[in-house]
Amino acid sequence: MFKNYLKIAWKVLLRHKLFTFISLFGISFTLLILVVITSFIDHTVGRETPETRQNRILSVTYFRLTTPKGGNLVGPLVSYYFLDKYVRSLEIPERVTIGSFHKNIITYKDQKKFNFAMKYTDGEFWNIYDFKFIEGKGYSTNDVDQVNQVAVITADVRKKYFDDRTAVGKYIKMGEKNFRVIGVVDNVSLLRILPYSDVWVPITNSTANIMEPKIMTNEFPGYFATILANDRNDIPQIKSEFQKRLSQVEFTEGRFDKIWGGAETYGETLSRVFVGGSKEPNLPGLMLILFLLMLLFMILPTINLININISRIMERSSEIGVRKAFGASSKTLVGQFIIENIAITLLGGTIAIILSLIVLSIINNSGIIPHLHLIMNWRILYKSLLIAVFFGFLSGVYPAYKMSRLQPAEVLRGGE
Amino acid sequence: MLKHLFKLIWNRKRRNLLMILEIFISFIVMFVVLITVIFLLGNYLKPLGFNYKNVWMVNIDWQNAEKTSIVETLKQLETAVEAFPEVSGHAFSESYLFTPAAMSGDNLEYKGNKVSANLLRGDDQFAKVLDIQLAEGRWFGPEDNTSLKDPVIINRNLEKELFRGESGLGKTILNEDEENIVVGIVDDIRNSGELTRSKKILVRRINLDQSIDDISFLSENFGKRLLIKTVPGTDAQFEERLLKQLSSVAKDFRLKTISMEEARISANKQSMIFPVVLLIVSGFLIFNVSLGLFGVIWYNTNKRRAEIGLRRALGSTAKGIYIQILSESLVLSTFGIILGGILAIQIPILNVVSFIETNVYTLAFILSILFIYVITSICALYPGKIAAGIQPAMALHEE
Repeated sequence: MFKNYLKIAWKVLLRHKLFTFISLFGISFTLLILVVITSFIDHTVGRETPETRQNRILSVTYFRLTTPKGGNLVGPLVSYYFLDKYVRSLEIPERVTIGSFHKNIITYKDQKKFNFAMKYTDGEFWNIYDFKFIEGKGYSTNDVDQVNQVAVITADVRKKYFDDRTAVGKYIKMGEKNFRVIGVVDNVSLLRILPYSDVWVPITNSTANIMEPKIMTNEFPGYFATILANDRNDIPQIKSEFQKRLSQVEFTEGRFDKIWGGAETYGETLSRVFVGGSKEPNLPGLMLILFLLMLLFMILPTINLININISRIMERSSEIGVRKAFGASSKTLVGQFIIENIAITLLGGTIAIILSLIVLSIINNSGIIPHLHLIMNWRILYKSLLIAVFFGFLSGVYPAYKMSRLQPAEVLRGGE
Repeated sequence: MLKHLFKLIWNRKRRNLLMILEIFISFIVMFVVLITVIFLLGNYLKPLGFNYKNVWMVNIDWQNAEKTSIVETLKQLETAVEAFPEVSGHAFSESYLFTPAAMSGDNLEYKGNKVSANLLRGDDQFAKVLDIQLAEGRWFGPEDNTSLKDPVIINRNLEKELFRGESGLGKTILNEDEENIVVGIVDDIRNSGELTRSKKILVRRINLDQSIDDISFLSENFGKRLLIKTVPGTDAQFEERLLKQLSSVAKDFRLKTISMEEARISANKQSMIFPVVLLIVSGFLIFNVSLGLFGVIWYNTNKRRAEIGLRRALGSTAKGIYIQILSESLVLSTFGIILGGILAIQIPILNVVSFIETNVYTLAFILSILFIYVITSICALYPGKIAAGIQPAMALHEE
């Protein structure tokens, strides 16, 4: 019977080519846009190299500092000293790394100008983030303590600066210092803001006085810390341990009297910035807003599809009348129509996935975001299929209900 | 005639409701899109307030160099820059030129009226390097050295809000705890680029000859720039030579050069990301809706062959039928537009986006109405033509 439904659906599609085109166009473009957005979100927060241990990772990045007079400073603005004192000393985590946000540095080689992002980190950075090494390895805590002038670079830097030849053992000039390359890793997308850089060097090479006892750095942006938990069940405890530390912060500058922040996942930080007034994370709030936006975007294509579907059904009213007269129940007919509609939606979904592969590669190659690598994976495929079925169901229910209310006698006589 | 059309639509209200709903939402979408486009276009047409041609910026990051040595090194940088024959002027600034995310800062007060403004800093040469024309008063100069109150320059926007329509020149304002005196007024400095709106701007003076603790320019280490104006026809090689020379002078600084032209292009690209995405998405939505409307109007017209045949038989002309189908769709969109208009007008009434002017809303409103009428009539053209071609004999015979 299911097979028959599909057969009928196929015949109906072929009968009215204009309506079929309109339906498929609407479905596939709506889904295309949703797939591209899903891919963006997945690329930003999903589990992907170098953040493969994401379920055990928390980060400390974004703060709100308030002054007694009501002044506010918001952003990634805390110092290395602050993170060293209040995050590295946490007892529950397995590992903690502290690094700077990347800064772009201009360097010259053979009269050519290069613009590379550079990041200062400690040795633990390479144990927490799971980079894919093409050559060599990362620097150790020992390298950092010894102030060794070593660097890890990306494949992209190797290509530009070393003409794509073996880079380990060669030197790269960043600022005033020459760094010996000890590792080459795959490119990292800018959307992976914490691990992202082109060149990584030990933090002790920084000329800034990073241990100056101040909460806020005098440069912008400041530093971040990433925490790796032993086990994902430790995460709530780590969060509360850090909150306890925050309540005991010494305000060494004297300007501030309160600090808001947290050890959070990336989504929680985003929700704190956009929904929680940078005070408390509000992940459900952010999800709700995203979901409402998605519904808002889908409402127009859905109404359009309902409209088309009603026209389609009315055209088939004689078929429905005959089936009803021969004893088909309304339930069967509604079921049949919804299945037909979901089948069409899935067809549109397939077109959407093919189109989105093209669109994603266009976005990747456009260079709007450095090293962006949007891909289609099973997670996104699964989510988009869910969205497609939801969409098909939504646009099928009302027309199916209208159809089930048709009076067989009226319809067969030729009226409406 | 109109009454008859309303009656026709009313009789089929259930069927038409969905179409009206679609037009209603499309109207809202069009309204939002047009507000954005008109707003950006309006910004683009306003003067920028400064001239970026032939200007280079040297970003200065002095990390943790001693405060005392910073001033000395900055002065050495000036001397080094002057040695280049290509350089015709230079100025220190904290101006966030072509940087979309500008620092919002100072809380100002005048006679109990509190306003916050975007803070820029510039030295005495700043206006000359950037070709900034003053509307009233003067730019900073050596005569400010003896002034007890810190001199500031404001833009018209800030003057209007802070002084509530009065003239602000020469008046003393309260900036956090200290007193500032307004020595000059500019029409505008739209530091974030051509596509951004006009903000409230306060410019403070950089004076490196003050005692070190008084130079607020040194308090934080971001956004510091040395602007360099070059003579026309300076080649790209200049940038590398300049950076090499300056880096050798300021060894403990981290310097980066960028031409204003480059900075402008990247700032405009960033400002364009949101509108471009909005245009693509809404363009798709509107195209989708028009296809749908076209399909439904066509289908409905086909279903009404008998009625149209009867009309023709009773003496209606082909042109009359054509006009009827067209005007039916126009009446339908009128319903959608009325509903959409009621909702859309809430945006300016509730002042959701405070910085958009009323005339932008008005223009967007009128254009959206026109746009919806044009789209719906285009959707009805072809079905109307088919309906006009119906032969009464054929149609009635089928029946």
